[in-house]
Amino acid sequence: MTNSLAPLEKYKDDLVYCLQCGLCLTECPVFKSTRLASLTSRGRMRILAGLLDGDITVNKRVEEVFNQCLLCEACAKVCPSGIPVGEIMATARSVVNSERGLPLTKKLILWAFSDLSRTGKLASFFSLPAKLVTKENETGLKPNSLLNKFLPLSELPKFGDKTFLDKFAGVHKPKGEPKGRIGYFTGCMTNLVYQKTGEAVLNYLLKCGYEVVIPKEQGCCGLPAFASGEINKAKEQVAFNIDAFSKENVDLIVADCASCVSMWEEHGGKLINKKLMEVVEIMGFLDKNNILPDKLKVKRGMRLGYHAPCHTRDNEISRKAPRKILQQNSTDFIYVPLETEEKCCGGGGSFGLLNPELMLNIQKDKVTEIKEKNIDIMITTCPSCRLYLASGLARHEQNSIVCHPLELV
Amino acid sequence: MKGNVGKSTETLRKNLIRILSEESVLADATDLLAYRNDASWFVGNPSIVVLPRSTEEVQKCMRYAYENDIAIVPRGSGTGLSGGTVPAEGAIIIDLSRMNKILELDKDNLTIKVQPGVITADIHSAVEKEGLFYPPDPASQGASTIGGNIACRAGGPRGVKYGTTKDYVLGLEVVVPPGNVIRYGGKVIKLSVGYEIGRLLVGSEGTLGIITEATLKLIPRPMYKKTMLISYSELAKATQTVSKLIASKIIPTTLELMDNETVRAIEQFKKAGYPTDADGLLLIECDGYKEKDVEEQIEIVINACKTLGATEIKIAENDQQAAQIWAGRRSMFAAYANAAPTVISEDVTVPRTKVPDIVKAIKEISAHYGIRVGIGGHVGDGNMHPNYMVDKRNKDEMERVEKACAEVAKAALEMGGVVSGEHGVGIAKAQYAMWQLGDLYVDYMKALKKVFDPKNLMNPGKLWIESGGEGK
Ligand SMILES: Cc1cc2nc3c(=O)[nH]c(=O)nc-3n(C[C@H](O)[C@H](O)[C@H](O)COP(=O)(O)OP(=O)(O)OC[C@H]3O[C@@H](n4cnc5c(N)ncnc54)[C@H](O)[C@@H]3O)c2cc1C
Ligand code: SF4
Ligand code: SF4
Ligand code: SF4
Ligand code: SF4
Repeated sequence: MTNSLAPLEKYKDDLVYCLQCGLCLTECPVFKSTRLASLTSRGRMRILAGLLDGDITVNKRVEEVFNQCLLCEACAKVCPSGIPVGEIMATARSVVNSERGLPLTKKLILWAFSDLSRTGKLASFFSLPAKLVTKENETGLKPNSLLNKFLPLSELPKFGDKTFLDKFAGVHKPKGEPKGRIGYFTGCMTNLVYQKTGEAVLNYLLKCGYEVVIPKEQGCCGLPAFASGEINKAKEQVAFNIDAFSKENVDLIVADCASCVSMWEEHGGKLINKKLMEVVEIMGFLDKNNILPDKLKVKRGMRLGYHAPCHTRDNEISRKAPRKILQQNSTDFIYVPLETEEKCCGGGGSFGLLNPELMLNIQKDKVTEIKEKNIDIMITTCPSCRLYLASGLARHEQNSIVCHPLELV
Repeated sequence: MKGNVGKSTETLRKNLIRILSEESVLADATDLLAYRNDASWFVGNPSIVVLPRSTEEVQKCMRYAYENDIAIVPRGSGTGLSGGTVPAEGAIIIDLSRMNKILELDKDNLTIKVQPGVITADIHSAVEKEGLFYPPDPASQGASTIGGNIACRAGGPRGVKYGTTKDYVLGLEVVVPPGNVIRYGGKVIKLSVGYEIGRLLVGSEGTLGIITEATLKLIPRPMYKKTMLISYSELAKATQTVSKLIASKIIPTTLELMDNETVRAIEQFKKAGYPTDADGLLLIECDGYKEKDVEEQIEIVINACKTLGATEIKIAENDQQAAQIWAGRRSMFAAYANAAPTVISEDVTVPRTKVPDIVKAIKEISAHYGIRVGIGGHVGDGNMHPNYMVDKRNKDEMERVEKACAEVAKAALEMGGVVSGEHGVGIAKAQYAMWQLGDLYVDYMKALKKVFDPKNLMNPGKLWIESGGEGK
């Protein structure tokens, strides 16, 4: 064993506990799409054991096999041995990085997103050239036909000229005596792209009587770095955010992105060995406090669907809340439960950009069903899912809107 | 997918790519690691993996391998528990996973035609949408392929009333050496013509040919179902209930046994609300097309259980409670896995009247070898799953568990039972199968294999031990 494998040593027991039973195949979107034994948790555990035993060394294929995982942890939920798949894969990627370096595309993405003010500047810098090669519509940018050939995405996010934090950082007071003081972790996607989500969250919390604190100094949650195996970078980012919020003396933190929440909750504390303050997904928070919106502003007769992000799988209340809204109000509009409601959108952060063919294949059933059932509005609680879904729908020429549920209030 | 590839493998790879395509051939050592084993503890060493997309491609691969004297191992999802798809040294693995289309659901003839790589659970959901029913329900249904199910005769909890995979195969298309296609049966539910070669392929574990298409029988979906959980303070009473029920001419859909070790493992892993003080639990389900019919069955079941001194009878009032009862049973395997690093699942089957005896034997033998065992099983059809909780790193313990397995197999044979009810023989039970079948029977099997596979290249080393075993 070479020394670079050392970080994997501590998972040796997990590799023994992996029964190779294959139950993880049941839920794995990548396996369903490729049907390759190597692209499953079982396969990767076997391959890791092979690496540690010296049967193989880190090569290009090992890197591919490790990268072609969404880190959605669908497998971990059915794994009888409770293998911590996300954590092991992040570590495995860090080992690959130290042997082979990080792929350029990932480096760029990480660099762009590691500092929100840099991201903001980049975004506004690119918004002009973007206008030249794309057509703007209400929801996003459609790449023109030439560009489309080279891009995995058929609809690009539309960056604002100013970021959400530029516009809304600070302390917002509700009318009357505040019910509580809530920190709002914005996340990069909302900060840069889906600013309407941010406004909706802010307004709804104010309407419910909460004081909302949005620290200017907050960054990426660290998930992209973690998922790329840049574990030290992720640690820094987690620590940075904790710092930003702990100064503010808030009761708890909400976020609108299910993926951010899962990063804070599942990995954040573990990474820096500290118990973090409570971070909750906004819809779950509302449901828990019995203040879910009881009316949606949509045209009568519209057909609404829901995409449940993988990252709420562990979080019953957050997973059910959006569905609850749709069920509650079903006299005004039609809630169309999708068979693929809980199926992955293929995005997985940068996974979709790095593995476009896999992404398209994984999301195919979902997108087809949305088109077949002619859904007007898809709601979801993860901006990354939103991005990939919107793109997939555009590719299939289906004009559904994809948005956060609170944007319909 | 180049990379870690040796020279001879490189030639093999190039040739197979010429026959199939680049994306249908895996030769990198990284990928091959993932094809070395199934869910058993055996490991092999394949030279290459191919993933054909059609019967023609399967034929081409087989012709190539046969001409070049390379062993061939068919593979589904690799969830087998007996080493069936663990490759002989240097074999080509033909993975059927990408032949995964449901070809036709015939609602008028009640049949479904599928390719071998279709996942079992996908068949369930496709037919249930139409109010139809495909009963075989192995616990691995979300992962296993129908090809693997047919090749192993997979069963499940519903086997008591509805039988196992073998009872639902109406037609098969198989590719046999050196690359011919044989078709058996079809949509008809009766057939009386010639040798049933298709039947021979069912359960052949890839040693005769490769299943490339199957027509399966469906039945109307029963409309009513009742689920109950029955506790006993003595395991023996629970096991005696089985023959009592069968004697009352009641065949429940499901009749599952869990011993105290199992119940405690389940409760520790997942609070299912099972009584941990019970020495034995039965999960019984009855179904039917009329509510009254189901209620009558339930009444007889309750009476039988009471006569045998059941301490608690819990009947699910609604789907949610039924799901709650099932949640515990479904997590059984996970619960064992949680309790030990390695779980060895065995599969002996005895005549139903012998259930109490085999349970007793399993307990005694395991105690003798100091092995922790949980007993679960489809007792309704006499199919026992002793699950040994061990640690594969502990050599001594592994030796002891092997001895225990062998003795349990022998005990089952003495009771007129068989060494496997649904997992198949593979490598794991080759020795036991020889004890069961005897030399002459095995000689006939070998002769039959020779007819199909004169060069002995189809999944060699399975079902029996070539050098001859130690006899009974
Ligand atoms: C957690 C767990 C629970 C299980 N529960 C059950 C259960 O309840 N009941 C039960 O019966 N089994 C059970 N099994 C065992 C296993 O799932 C079954 O044996 C299943 O049928 C194997 O299917 P597979 O697709 O994984 O086949 P594989 O393991 O890939 O192959 C099994 C055998 O079939 C052969 N084969 C596969 N495909 C073909 C083909 N197309 N043509 C010819 N030969 C082929 C292979 O060569 C091999 O010999 C369980 C396994 C696990 C891990
Ligand atoms: S489900 Fe878990 S224990 Fe089973 S093979 Fe997958 S990772 Fe291993
Ligand atoms: S994390 Fe998701 S993509 Fe990765 S192996 Fe598990 S189920 Fe598959
Ligand atoms: S999960 Fe995604 S959206 Fe949320 S902060 Fe992290 S990178 Fe940004
Ligand atoms: S993008 Fe959404 S659905 Fe896809 S992996 Fe991430 S959370 Fe899951």
